[in-house]
Amino acid sequence: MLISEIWDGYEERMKLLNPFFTFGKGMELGPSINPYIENILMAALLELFYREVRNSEARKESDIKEIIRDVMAEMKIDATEKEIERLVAAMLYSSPQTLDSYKRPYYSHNKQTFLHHKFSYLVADQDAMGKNPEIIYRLTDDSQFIIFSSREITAELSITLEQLYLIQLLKKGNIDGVLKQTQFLLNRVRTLINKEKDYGKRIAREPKIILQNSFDDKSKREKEIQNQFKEEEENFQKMFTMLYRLEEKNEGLYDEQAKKRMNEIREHLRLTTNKHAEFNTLVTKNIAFIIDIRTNRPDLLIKNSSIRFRENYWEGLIQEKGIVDVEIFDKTLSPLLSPVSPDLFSLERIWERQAITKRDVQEELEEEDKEKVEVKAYSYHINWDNILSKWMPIMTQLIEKGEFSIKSFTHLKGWSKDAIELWVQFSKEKFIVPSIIQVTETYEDDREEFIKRLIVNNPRFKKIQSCVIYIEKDSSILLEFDKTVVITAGTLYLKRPKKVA
Amino acid sequence: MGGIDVMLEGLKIYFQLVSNGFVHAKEEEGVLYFSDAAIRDFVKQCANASGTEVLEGSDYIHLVASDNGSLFSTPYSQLKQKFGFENQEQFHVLCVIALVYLAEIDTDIVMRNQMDIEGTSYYKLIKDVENVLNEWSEKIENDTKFEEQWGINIWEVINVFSTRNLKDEKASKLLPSFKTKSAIVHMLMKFLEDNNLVRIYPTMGTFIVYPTEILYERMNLAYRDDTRFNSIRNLILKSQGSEL
Repeated sequence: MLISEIWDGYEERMKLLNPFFTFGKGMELGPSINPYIENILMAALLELFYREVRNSEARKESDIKEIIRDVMAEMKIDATEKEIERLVAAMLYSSPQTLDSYKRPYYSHNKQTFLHHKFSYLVADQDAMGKNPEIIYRLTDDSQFIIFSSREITAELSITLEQLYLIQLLKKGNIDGVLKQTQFLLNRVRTLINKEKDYGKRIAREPKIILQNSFDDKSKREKEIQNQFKEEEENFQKMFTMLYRLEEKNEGLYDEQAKKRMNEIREHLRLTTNKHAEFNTLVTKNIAFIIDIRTNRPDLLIKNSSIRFRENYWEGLIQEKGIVDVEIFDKTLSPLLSPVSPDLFSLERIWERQAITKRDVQEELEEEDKEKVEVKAYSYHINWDNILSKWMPIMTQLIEKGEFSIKSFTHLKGWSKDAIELWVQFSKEKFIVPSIIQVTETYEDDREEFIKRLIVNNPRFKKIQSCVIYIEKDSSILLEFDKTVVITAGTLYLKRPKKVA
Repeated sequence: MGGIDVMLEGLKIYFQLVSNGFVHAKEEEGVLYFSDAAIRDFVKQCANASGTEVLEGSDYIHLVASDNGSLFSTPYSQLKQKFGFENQEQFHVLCVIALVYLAEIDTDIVMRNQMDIEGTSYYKLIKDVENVLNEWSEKIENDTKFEEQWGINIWEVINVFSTRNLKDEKASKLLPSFKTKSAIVHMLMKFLEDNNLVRIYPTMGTFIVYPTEILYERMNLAYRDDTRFNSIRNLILKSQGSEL
């Protein structure tokens, strides 16, 4: 008979420990590396932790590889490129092929069976990434726990606890310890801020969750939370005072190095205090949000919208019945896609072109009786003089500086529609200028013709040959000129061709 | 706000939506949109008149193509132009992969914790697509009735995908094409990325895709609508021959 207490909190214990047990497991790198895998990965994890705390963005896959390489050099362990890559993969995914996160079983005494939970050591740091084309990684709660619990404190980490620990260190005058601890504290507050943002997002997305039992309704313990914040704020004040006293006591005893460290500690503390205030605001806002929904928007709580894509559309219908009508694609996928936008909304221009096309059709119809239908090429006379006069300065700047932003214009007075449309043409796709433009030829592509006329006008534009011209659009900004033309903001670039080796 | 102002402000928002596909709910246009019911109605009218639909999310306001024909050229025509399909089946393969991907990421959008968001590897998605295609072909072989009810040439679709290798071991760079399974998935993902629905990141010599907040919002808003669901269900039941 087992002692029943062993099952108290057993599931949580296992979930906390599984990331430990799994760390560095499941790969075969031979006797020269195998025994040391955990050592290598732990050093790499710490390096990433400190980079994160210090706001360094050198946390990309290539950086992790570099870190592993450096760690192994330090430990004097030889490794091939492939082996290093395998170690990098272990920090990111359970398998370098499926790119899945880790999944481990834990025994549930309640359910009398094994359940699974998923975890990772590193995840995408969406905040730091922004528009970066590569993933910047940050530690998860699970991997942070590995780091935290390998220090003296193993209990669940609250800010207050971290603060108390820091105060202990300050009392002892352990400057190195204090410096490290301020970093941990700052990281802790940052993690909490991210979590709180997420909490708010989830409520906004699905207000109904506040009714669920599993939902942590912070509005119910508002008082308790406010008290905690008060205590934490007092702790920060206390730390500043202690830091001041410590400096006062040791006045004149600090060397340059120690002074620098004291400044660093103060800076960390200041930053953490600010972040902590930000966190407080977020929590307060979310609580107000929940209360607002409860009192003012009960409609959000009853709205019945239980249809889900996966269960109802996919598993219940399409997967089961097959694509019985090709329209299914259209009907299911269209609400995800925005209509393709024209770049320029000049209705006049569109109508003008349509009028001409219509006339063409008319003529064709009349000739239909004849044996041979003569297809008349639709011709539209472009006013090149206007285009050249307006575009010459732009192209000159482009050659000199390599870029030109349309934002630098305040008006488009005197611009013909053709001159404006040239911009639109460049914004549609990258335009590669032919390597040789014949000045005697007539080009069908307006852009090629334009470059030819530039060269005819001034041979220095020959430089543009074989260059790439393109516009990077800033879709978030619409520029309106003279109340008639609306253009998506963008910058025109000229890139020289890469030399072929 | 008076009539003409409503129109001017509404148009501004509408054109921003048309040019961009979405506006931020918390930024200028979004705030204006939510501040005035008259503006909201006006924007929705513009949208409806052009065969589009406005979706109101917590982070974004979206303009999406409506399922009964849009005035604008649709992303399909854009997709077609961009990649140039040899036959319809190639296009259908991409649609099937898209549906499988959507089902894959829809596991738990609501309770999903933003911080622990996971990407989907091409490898995993390919396995999922293969499973679905296998399931379908087995069912067709065992059930002639099931075979008859298809509205697309499913054997050809299966053929386009299943006969391809996972990837081209010799190629140093993965480019969108119909040559390998990875390249086909890449083609779809590039298209979704161009439409702000996913972000593709290189990792471990392959790619991993993350859905964007925009995709999550649209999935959450568009598919939970009873009307759309019933319309698709009716379409399926009708094509199947069984009366409702």
